[in-house]
Amino acid sequence: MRRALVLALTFVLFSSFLAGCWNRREINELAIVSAVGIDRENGLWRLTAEIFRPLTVGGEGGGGGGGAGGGPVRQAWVVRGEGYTVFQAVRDMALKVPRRVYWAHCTAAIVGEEAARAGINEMLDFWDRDAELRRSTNILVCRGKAEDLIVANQGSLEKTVGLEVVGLKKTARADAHSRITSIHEFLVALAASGADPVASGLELKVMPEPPGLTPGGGGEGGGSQGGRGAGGGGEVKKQPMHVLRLKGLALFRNDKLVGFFEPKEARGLNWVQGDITSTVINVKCPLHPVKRDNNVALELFRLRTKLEVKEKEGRPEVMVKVKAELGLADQGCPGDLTKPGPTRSLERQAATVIRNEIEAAVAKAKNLGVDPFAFGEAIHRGQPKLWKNIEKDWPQGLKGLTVKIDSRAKIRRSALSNTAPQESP
Amino acid sequence: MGFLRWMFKRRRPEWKLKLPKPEAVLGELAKTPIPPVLTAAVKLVKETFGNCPDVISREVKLDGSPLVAIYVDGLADKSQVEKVLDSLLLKRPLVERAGIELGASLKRWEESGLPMGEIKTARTVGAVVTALLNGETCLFGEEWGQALLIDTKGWEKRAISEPDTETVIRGPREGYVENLRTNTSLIRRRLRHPNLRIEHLVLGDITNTQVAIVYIKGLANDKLVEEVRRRLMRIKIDGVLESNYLEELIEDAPFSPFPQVGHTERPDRSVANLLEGKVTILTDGTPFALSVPVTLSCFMQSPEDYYERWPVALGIRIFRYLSLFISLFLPSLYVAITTFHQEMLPTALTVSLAMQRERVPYPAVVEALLMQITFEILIEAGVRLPRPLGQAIGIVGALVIGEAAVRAGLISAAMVIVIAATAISSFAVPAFDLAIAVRMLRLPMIFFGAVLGLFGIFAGLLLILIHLASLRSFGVPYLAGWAPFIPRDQKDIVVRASWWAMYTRPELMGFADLKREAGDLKPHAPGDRRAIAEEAEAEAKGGTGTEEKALEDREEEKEKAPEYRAGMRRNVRRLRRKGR
Repeated sequence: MRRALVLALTFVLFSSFLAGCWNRREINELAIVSAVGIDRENGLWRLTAEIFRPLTVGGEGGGGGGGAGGGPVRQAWVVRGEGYTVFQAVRDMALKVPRRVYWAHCTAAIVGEEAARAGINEMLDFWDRDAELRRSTNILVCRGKAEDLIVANQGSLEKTVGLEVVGLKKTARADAHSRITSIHEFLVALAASGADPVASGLELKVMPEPPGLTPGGGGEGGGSQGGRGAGGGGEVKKQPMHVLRLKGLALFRNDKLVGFFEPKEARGLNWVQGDITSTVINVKCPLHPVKRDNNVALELFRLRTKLEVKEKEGRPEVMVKVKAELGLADQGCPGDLTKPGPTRSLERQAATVIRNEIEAAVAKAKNLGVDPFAFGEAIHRGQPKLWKNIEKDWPQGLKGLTVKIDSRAKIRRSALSNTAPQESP
Repeated sequence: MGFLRWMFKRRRPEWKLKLPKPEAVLGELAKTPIPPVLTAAVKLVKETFGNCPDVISREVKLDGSPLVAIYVDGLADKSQVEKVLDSLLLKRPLVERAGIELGASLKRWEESGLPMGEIKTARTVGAVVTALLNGETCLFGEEWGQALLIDTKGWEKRAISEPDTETVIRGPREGYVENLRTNTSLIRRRLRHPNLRIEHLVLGDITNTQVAIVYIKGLANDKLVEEVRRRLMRIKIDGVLESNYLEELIEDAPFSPFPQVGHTERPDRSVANLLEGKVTILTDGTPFALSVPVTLSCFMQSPEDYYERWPVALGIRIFRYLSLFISLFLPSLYVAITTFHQEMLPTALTVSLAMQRERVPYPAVVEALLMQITFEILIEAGVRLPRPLGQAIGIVGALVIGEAAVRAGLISAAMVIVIAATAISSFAVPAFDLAIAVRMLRLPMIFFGAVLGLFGIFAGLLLILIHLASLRSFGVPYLAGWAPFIPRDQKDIVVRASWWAMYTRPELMGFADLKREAGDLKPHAPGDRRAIAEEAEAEAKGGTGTEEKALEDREEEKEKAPEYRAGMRRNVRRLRRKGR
């Protein structure tokens, strides 16, 4: 009995040695990808991976960001891989990276415009299929080449493009002019017959580096715009600052990019989807309409959007009901705007702004033949019988769809003060 | 195979002694009668002890015949011996009369009014020797043919002090000492009831150590007491120096790393155990008392849990369980996650860990084992060293491991944190023996985690759970409360319910009398109308709530279950059925 036990234990013990720590990989033997740029060139996929450089992240010299270290803010290394398939391109990197390229922490997939227009089905499939890649990766589309953007970006407060995108995803909620979607959301919209996916637009903004910020010119900077006026100085050699910026939304039909929403139109889409936590609406001051345009800012606190689908003469009709609750945030003219008269005027103007933005977005979508609003899904839910008739040629059918907009705004509060600072008479 | 057979071959050294074995000596002497000639008797006794200088004989010359008192210096209280001898001389006529007229008649001596406590007689040398070793003084007379044993016990003993191993913030400060009699008195002082039973045994053929089985008659199961007695009686060993000698000889699974007998230095804890229907075993010469049966949850209870208000105790105990898991799994989880499952960490942490490990030449497992072993050595060194040096070791250890090793790039800072957190957690486990068991299991767990990742850790966890589920301590499942699941016992396992809610004893131990307090003790303010209404309602029902009714039912069942083991098995089976 005991001998059997000892034997069994010995076998268990030694067979575990035979396993030899199967699939073990030390954390410092990984090349952790933070973001990846995806381009197509002559039928080749070209992946540009941004990899963390562990030695410099939060480095021993007292952290990045500050001006003391002198090293680059960006703590990443860039590597390219090419291949006829995405997977081949990924494996191509193995010949260039001395560590195992690790994708689980990749937070941003930036698709170049050309690749996006050609279709990204293959890339999406790889993301969905591979165990290491995550569907929570954010997908963004940049104008021009993604490679250029990843190489040229110098980072701001964050160390890598990937971390920057993660941060922007949160902060972008404070201004609804764009929105970052994950590959998961993208795939869900792609699979739905009555909706088309969108991805955030991304661009690299070039701005001259403010003089005197870094003595060595190591590419330091915090996105300050102070040096803009002194363009042709000549004595101090200024390097251009590259800063990432979200701009509008990329519209997809199936897996192909068909066009972009400009920021206002992008907010129009967000109004319809009711997916805004906060934003700013600029309107004219009703007390002094002549003095300056749009000098009163209203902040959105609460938004309720409802899509109602009705049948009219055998065709669906979508009614977008938007109810916005606003607060007075910034008043550029003297006087008391909290009185009923001016308030009503502000509310009317805000409602008009919302309506105009939605109309612009819908018009552009109709023009491009895409349905990022998921009107199709709304019809599917509201009028399933009608939907069966029009499902076949859906995104095209959007062109003939009547979209009515009922936008209402209500000003609830005026923050800490009632009136603007008065000039003494 | 031959190697294995050789390894596990039973080998017993043959004792080749010319003299009779020490175990046999007492037996021989027990057969030897005391010679009637006084000088011969004294000589025999002294020679039995090899004329050791601490065996002292004093002769008292009375008219007619002399008396000789023999005692062992240091075991007998000298002042008491002196008092006996004094009185022999002072009350000479009385003694002479007693001695002459009645020889060694016990009754006469007792009536003589001499200042002696307990008086016994002995007819064999063996009995005399035993009495001398117990600190008694033996009185021999001419032509007696027997000896008078006068109780003069009294030796140096440590004063009662606060136990070092189980300190509490609130609670009694008394701890056991090395003297058995003092220890039983400590129990009896807390438990004033005639049903408290103390049974004495003498174990150890050479040391002749006194061992006491303590239990409450009617509360502890008779079959359990019988079982404890049986297991203790079968012990044949030369010496018992500490209660662990007994613990290892009476436990159920001798190869298990988990302790199956509880031990404590606190009499209040022993009394609490007795009140739960357990049996306590006291050993002379050690301040540690054993208690059986015991379950895993018992080791997670601290006496203080019951001396603090229950919300506090509840929170503290939950943290304690948490620390048990941390001390068992944290290093292995760290190793597994950083070498197999990097996707589980937040991105920032992954990068920061990668950066820390950049200079470390070894894999995480080696790092963990290195740290763990260093830490174990540090603990061991700290325990053995005298106190002032121990502090120095602590400082050196902290500086060398915490600071220099990280600077030198031998170990990553995160690993130091992990091991430190583990160490602190392991000290939060109240029972030292369980903490050691967990410490010993930690190394294989690290190994499991390093070889197969989380999969390996769960395999290891399963192995441990299977083992725990198969363990029994004196018939009680080791995981009692969880497996078999006993709803009523949950009040005192992970949580600690308030005293007014804990009105039952642990079901598998205290089933002889399950109810420990009245069911309606929950206090309420004088004006609390709802509480008063509830009370009135309960009274209308006949004074018993449903819970109490169930208790009464159980008591009836209990009477029908005579066999201890069979009854226990039935309990377990019933509980399993209930659980289903």
